[in-house]
Amino acid sequence: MSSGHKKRNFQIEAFKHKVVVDPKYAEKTWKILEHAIHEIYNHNASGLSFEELYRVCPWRFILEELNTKWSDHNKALQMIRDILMYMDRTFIPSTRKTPVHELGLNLWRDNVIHSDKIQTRLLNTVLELILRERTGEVINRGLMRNIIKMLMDLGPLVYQDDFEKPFLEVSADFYRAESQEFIECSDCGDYLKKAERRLNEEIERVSHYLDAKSEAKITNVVEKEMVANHMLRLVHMENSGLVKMLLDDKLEDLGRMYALFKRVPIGLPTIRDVMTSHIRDTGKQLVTDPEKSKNPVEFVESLLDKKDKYDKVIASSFNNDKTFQNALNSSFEYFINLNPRSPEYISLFVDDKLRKGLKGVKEEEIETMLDKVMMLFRYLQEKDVFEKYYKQHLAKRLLSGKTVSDDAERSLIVKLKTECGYQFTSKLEGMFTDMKTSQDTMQGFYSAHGSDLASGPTLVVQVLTTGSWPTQSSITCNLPSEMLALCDKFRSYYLGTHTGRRLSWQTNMGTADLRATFGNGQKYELNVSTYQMCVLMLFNNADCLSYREIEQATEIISSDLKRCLQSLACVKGKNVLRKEPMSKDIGEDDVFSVNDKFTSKLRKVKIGTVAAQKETEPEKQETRQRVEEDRKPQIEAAVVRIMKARRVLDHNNIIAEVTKQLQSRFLANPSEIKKRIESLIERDFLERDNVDRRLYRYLA
Amino acid sequence: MDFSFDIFQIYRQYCDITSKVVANVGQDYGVDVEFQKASILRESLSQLSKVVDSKVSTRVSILEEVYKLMSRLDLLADFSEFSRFYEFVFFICRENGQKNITVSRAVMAWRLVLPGRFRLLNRWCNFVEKNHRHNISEDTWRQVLAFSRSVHENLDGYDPEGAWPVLIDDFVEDMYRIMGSLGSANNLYCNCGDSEPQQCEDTLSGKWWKTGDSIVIMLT
Repeated sequence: MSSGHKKRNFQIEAFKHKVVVDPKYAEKTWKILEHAIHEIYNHNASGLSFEELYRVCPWRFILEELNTKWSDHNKALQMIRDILMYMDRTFIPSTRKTPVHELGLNLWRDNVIHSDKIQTRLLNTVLELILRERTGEVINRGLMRNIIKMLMDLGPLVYQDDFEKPFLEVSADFYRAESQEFIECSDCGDYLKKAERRLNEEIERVSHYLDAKSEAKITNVVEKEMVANHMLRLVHMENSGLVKMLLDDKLEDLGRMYALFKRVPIGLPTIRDVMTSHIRDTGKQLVTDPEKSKNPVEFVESLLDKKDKYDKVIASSFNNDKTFQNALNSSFEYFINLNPRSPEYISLFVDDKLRKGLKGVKEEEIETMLDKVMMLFRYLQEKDVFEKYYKQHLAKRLLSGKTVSDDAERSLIVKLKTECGYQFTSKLEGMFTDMKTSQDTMQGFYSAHGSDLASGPTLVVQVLTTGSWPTQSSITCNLPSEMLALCDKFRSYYLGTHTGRRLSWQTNMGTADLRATFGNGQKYELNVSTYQMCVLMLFNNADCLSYREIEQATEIISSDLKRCLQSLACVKGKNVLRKEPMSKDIGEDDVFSVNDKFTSKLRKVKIGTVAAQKETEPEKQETRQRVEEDRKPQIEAAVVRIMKARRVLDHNNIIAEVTKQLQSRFLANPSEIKKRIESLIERDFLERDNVDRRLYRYLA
Repeated sequence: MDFSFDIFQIYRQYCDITSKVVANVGQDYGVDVEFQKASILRESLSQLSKVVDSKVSTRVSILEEVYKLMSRLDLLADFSEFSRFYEFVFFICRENGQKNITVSRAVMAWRLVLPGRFRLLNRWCNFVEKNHRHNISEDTWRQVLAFSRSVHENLDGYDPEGAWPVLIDDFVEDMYRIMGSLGSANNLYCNCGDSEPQQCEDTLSGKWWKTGDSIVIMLT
């Protein structure tokens, strides 16, 4: 103090001669102040005795005692600072001395908190109370808050060194032991619940009586000890781990796992990898299951169910995480293409829905269904195969008049168009146009010939543009004479209005409605295929015909004829013909006659509609071959396009670029691309570089 | 005009045409120039080919002539010399302006010119005879020589992404299958007896001439 006095003197030198300095002034002033400070302490705390504090006080009450003393000290400090305010403001800053309040805190720190009789006891007590709280006891949080606040007031270093560091260490030990104990005796779901509860408790604790900055540190400890250290074990738990949760749709548990694992490094990739391999495994099982393949509609439905299931899991438990969605998509793409018949089955599924499955279904639901189909379509690598089948199935639907909803049909075409471009759907759209044009043509035909056709059968012709429709080997059969005459009339009418065209009859795709009267006088209307009609009409002139006689009269190829006779004679309730001998299959020596006893509850009987079915093995081979043939020019075109732009390109790059260009339609086989390149070299479109044999050069 | 078939003269002309084009390469890398050269080369070769066709009569055995030519040329010294000769063999083996040569002719020609240069020759020829129904294109012909040089008999050095013609890929796959069934690559090397004799004449005592082709004559 006295040295400070001198300095102040020095500073106000200019007034020296006017100020009469009492040499005893400083001492006198200090006496007064000293007295005052003692008074302050005496008044507030009669004889502040720390001896008393740590001797008398049982350790349980050390916090209460400390808290009281601390608040006294604070009050005293406040008053002292007020008294010394002038010094604090002017003298302290200029002399860089410790301000009064700070000095007070430092003294408290050094003499109380750091005194060897208090320091460890204080820490142990605080940690003990936290432990008690963790084990379920209720503690005095207000007191804890005050004590911790005191440590924080004494400076961040005091809080950290005297509380936070040991607190984190003790917590780590605690949770290490507890997690070990938990994991031995709980299943994955319970464990995660406990971990989540612990985490929330710690967060709550911080908010109640710790420094907010400690939250990240203590949660980090819990995450590390309770989650990160046991991550793999949790995920792979035999009967309760991730796979089990996925199997049982435990959305809440999955959500918990996601939230907890998200907090630790590589937590989410761990979940994602296990989920991916689970989806892949189960998906692979699904698509390679021969039972499932028996029914294409069920096959696709189970794919859709699977997709729905995981969409739901990702949406409700995995926070719609993009990386999880991508993993799901790539998994589906992986296993759907494991079964080469997936494109066919998806098309069959659509066929089934558009034939009958949509009756009474609302428009929005149809849209959702179509969107789902499109989603599966996107996963297909061989989109061109899908197109082939779709075309076949659509043709059958259109020609047999079995489409339920024109809107739904067109809606799917539009979706395919947006997905794959105009080229992909132009032929499909051509088919719809043909249907419409044919309607107009038939109207024209009947208004021109209506009068002289009134008595005979009615003919409906659909004129199909070659190329738009699936290629059909044009096998005709012998039509009944009355039909033949009508057909000729139509031919001359059509060719008369459209010059330069050729018509050929596709009898294998037609249908006919027959009115039949059976022996008992019962009349029925039979809905049959054109082939079946030809067979049935033969029985107008004969009671009994052998297989060979029918074959000779109709000239239907034997595989088709057998199938058609089978549906006429061997299907219960639809057996308008009787077969000798009775058996399931058609033999070359069988004999057929009209089934006089035929009855049916319905007046209209539908016989053997040409519903699209799963292809037989040889049909499948044939389609596959056609697809391969169709791909050749596409691959060559891609090679030429690329080489025209690049002029010179090396082998691996050209394979990669061609694959990329064709990806939207199919996955080109590298060896097939190579064959095409060789063929192009042979035809002088390309040549190999003389020096580097891996380099191709564009010619022409 | 000389109507007799002189393979030495044809070979000289062939060399003139190809070396002219090769000599010009390197002066200018413009794509158009490159392209022009290629078309000039093709044009001159097709003219030479017509001349050859007019001279070849059924009495002449092309492969016999090739053998004559081969025995006079010093092919061991310089690989590029052999390459040119090898490509010439394809050129001269074509018939009636066709672009490709038949499998049987190609196999005979390979057995004639490649002994001592292609350790898998015997297996290769057997494979092609058995599995390949189409003709052999010029590209495949050329790549066989490149393959014989860069790939060892145990198939070391074969790169499936190495831009080899599909026929060669298939051959290698077949070899791998055989190797697999034999147990190890070492077995293939030791047991298949495929180490070709280094001298041309020795190889000719092999089975290739059993085909009964006119080339048998020159063995005497």
